[in-house]
Amino acid sequence: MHHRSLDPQLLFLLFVNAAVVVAAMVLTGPEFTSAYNFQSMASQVPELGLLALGVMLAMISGNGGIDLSGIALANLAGIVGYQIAVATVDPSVAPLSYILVFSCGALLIGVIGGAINGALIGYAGVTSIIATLGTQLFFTGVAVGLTGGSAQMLGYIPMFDSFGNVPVMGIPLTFALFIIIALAVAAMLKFTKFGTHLFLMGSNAKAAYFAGIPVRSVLFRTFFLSGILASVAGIVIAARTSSVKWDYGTSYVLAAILIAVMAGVRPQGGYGRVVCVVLSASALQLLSSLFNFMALSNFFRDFAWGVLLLMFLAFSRFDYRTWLPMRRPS
Amino acid sequence: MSSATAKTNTALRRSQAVPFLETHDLHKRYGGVHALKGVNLKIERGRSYHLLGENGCGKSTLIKIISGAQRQSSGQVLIDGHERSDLDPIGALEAGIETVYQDLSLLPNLTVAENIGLTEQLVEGHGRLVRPLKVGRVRETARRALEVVGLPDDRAFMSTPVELLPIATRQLIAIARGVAGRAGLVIMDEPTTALTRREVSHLISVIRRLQDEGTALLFVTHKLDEAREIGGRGIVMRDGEFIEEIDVTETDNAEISYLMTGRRLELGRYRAARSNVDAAPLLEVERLTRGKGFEDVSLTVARGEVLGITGLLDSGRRELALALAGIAATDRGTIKLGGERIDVSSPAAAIDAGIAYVPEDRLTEGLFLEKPIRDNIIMSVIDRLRGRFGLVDRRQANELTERTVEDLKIVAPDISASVSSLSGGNQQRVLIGRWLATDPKLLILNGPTVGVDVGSKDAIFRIIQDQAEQGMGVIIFSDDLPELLQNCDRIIVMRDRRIAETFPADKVDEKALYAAMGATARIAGAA
Amino acid sequence: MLRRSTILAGAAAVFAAGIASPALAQDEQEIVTVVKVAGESWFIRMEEGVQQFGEDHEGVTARQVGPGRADAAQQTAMIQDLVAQNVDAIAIVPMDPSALEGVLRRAQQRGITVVTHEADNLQNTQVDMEAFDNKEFGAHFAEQIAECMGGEGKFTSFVGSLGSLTHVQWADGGAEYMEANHPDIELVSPKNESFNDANNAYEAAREILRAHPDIKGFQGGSAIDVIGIGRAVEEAGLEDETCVYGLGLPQDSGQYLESGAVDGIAFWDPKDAGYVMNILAKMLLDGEEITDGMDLGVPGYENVAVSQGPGEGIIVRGQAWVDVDASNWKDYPF
Repeated sequence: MHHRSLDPQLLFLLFVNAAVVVAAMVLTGPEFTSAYNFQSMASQVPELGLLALGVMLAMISGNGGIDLSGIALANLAGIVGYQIAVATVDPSVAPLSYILVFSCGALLIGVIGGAINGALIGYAGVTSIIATLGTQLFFTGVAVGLTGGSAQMLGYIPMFDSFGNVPVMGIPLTFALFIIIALAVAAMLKFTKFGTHLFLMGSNAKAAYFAGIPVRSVLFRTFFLSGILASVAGIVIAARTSSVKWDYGTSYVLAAILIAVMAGVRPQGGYGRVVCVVLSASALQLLSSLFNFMALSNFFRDFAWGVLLLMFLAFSRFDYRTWLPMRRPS
Repeated sequence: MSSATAKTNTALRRSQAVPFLETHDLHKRYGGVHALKGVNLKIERGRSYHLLGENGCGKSTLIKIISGAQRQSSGQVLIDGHERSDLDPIGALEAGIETVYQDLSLLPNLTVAENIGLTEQLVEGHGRLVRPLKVGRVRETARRALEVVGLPDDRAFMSTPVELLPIATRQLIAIARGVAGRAGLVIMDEPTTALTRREVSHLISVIRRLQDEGTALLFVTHKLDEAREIGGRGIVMRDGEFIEEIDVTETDNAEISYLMTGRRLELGRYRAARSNVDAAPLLEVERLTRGKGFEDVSLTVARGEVLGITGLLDSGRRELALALAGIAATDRGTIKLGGERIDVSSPAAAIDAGIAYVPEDRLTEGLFLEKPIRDNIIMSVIDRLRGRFGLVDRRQANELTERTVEDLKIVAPDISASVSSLSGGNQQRVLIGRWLATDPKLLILNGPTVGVDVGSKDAIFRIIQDQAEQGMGVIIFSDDLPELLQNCDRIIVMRDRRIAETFPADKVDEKALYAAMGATARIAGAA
Repeated sequence: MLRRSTILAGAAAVFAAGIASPALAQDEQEIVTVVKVAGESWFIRMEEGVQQFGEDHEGVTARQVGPGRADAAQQTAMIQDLVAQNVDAIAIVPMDPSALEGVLRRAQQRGITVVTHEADNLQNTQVDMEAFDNKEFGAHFAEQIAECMGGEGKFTSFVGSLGSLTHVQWADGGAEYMEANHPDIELVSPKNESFNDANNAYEAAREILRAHPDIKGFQGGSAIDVIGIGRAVEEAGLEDETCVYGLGLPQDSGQYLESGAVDGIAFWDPKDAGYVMNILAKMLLDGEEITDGMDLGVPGYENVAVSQGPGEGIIVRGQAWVDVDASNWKDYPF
């Protein structure tokens, strides 16, 4: 038990987080480590982090599982939530109701979108990469159709904007929400039957089937959950930017996969730790902000993400133990 | 050259006293494991040797070093008297050491001819293939080798991609590849697992021929009776050390097992055969049929009875096992458990009905290798381990795992260790433990001791008998006849997709079983 | 297979090679221009203006950044990090103005000066700079088309999409001009959408030529519209019979200007736009007032119109369109 909690990947990610902060202090000056910046960075993590959790679940399910439709569904959820809310509630009169209606609408789309993915992959047996590529286009198409391609402005709703951007007791609320959701996902993976079945199925789908695991149902529920996580991401995006648009965050598809792979989630399936995904998301955010603070060209950032992804795929899991000298036989 | 001349030449060469292969004080360490502890070996031309030992005794490590796949930590390897302590695979091939691996190591998308003839090309190019392939040579080499092992050598067969062929043919092709060149030593690791009795007999004649031509042979096998048929010297290892070199034809199984394990083991029947007169049968199968798999199968199993089912590879026994487990669908027929018709349309349904199926291939069909022992054991009974909020209760899970480990005497460092770190025998016990935890009424085992060392075999047999004593019905599907004869009350033989005959297990012998299976049984040694 | 250590060391070296660490004097004014997409020729040209401004003014560090691809999320993140860095002023060409309202509000709360361009509906900016009045720009095209047509005949207009605000404003401006000044000119099939795709523009133009064989005037919206229209006109051999004017970039439209398929294009020089944004930012930092009719010292911005914006800021408009035809398109490198 003890050695598993402190596995090499986790230590590595802690090290990376710390190293980037130290590098930033050296290379860019005091502003990076200011409270404002940490809050600013923390508020940028949740939307991508939630998508990365969804990708993690898909990867754990094995057989090359992945979810490419996350951000498209998030945007669609925001758009539909907005359209329902704006048609039924006046935000200047009842802001809380407006937010609640918006959120419920978004979550509903997450449920539907997740169910579509789950049905295609779990019951129709479509490979997840093809299925989610298709649903990504479908969700995007619907979003464009509903909005004509233009952004939907929610306008300045103080309550919502504060939720998205104003820290409470030093912690951005969206970040707190992200952590709570991450904890819930971790608990589900560790303590529920579904979680155990998911890991086993990802580890060896044939043996799982032989052992009586309802493989199709587990797959359905996995992608269903990923869809819901995506819709929460959509709500967070709307809170942060006060607008929803069909093409927001197109770079998130790759970034979410990068976070999952960097977190040691095995693309072949069967393994992944939530705490590592959270640390990986924060590491990426720190790096991203560091690059911006250093005024590095954004192309370098894209290049860096590409190199990191290839590196981590090549190593699959970083094990510092191979670097230490061999212990003598006892 | 006549075989008499060949034999004389070989004897002459042998008498010139330079063994083909020698190892001096070979050690191998991996991280903290001392896998080989000063092994000294002498392999002479024209002789057969059998590496005997439990899983983990160091046989595979030794083979890997001899064949160049790994380097020793210390010690020397001499080939034909020359020091060759820095062997790599190509070097070993060049020196005349061929290996037929347990997993065959064939290239599935290449043809039969290419698989057999490639080694020669690789050796000529010192490991590089960047030049025009001598297709004619490849085919010629392949043809000769195929003829030796008794496979067809026509153009069509040689151009077949290997992945399309059945496992038995593939095994023979792997052997053909090994004997294609003029090897000094051919190492064969479990070469007969997929072969029928008939094919094994033919292989033995091939071995004799090779010996006559001066090739040394080194076998790694768990099938002691087969080793005896082949004859030669037995090299017994235990815990990385060389224990003794014996003459396999003059040492009985009990003695060999003792040398391998350091313990005395039971080798007779584990129980007296029960006569099958139980009032209400536990399992009733009536006229079960599955398309091209099997037809019109009817059988019964009583509570506490152990039924064995065997047959050649194409007899339908495999499909029958899968059908009873709920993995393969059936077209017609009924299955009743405890008098009631049950639905076995899926593995989950079969489990619910009280059937547990321990699959044939524990590595790909049964275990979750990188997951902990605990998860592998409890996974089918999670529902029973719920605590607060319906979440899995860790404490209960650990208790169940510890109990299972104790009951089945699984040797494991810690229940959080991953299953891949266990030996084959212990892995099999983990798998059986998982199924026993489901409290089944009927336990079906398919090849339960394949690739399992003698010590674990014994343990598994005792487990099976224990469960039968407690009223569980057991079916063992196997092609290991001694295993069935030792453990079953009745043995059903299938042939050509139907049930051919049923025997009481204590009144039949291997010969009769082979006859019923439709295999021509020649007892080697008489040839 | 390469050893892990080699690969990691190599990657680290690559990272290090890409790193340039600008040292900043504390008392310099830092103005950062954030564009829609780095690497697009339009914004490469804009960067020339930004650099020029930095050279012309001592005590000011002017630099330009932009996301690697057209993604509002990335642009927002860059701005957020600039706010965290506490730069003095940010000049932005927004990908999606509405997505920036929040972060720009926070920027201003932190005391950072905010200037924008091509975002006249943005509330949280102090100054939004527009190169011209969009209605006037559209009218300018229509004027040239009408002259070329001899004051009579049919004409049509194109837009990138009905959601592209500025394109729609140009098309409407042109139509209004025609209606007011040339009653003998008839508008047919207004605001054809090309979705910023030259092929679509081409197809649409062919359709119109088929439906209205006697049509004379075309007004393009997005910069590729004239390319598609020009191709259709060339194919039909109607270079001399048609009058095609619209937004365009010299190098892209060059071949059609030469052949006469396109009679003239207009654009605004992003270099000047970048320069002017920085001028405005510096003026705000220095506390100078921006008044109606001011001369900012850049051609096209010598008599700017200042009006109230949708929020508390102002909109500053120039008359900075540049007309280009066959005679002078080669003078421009973009």
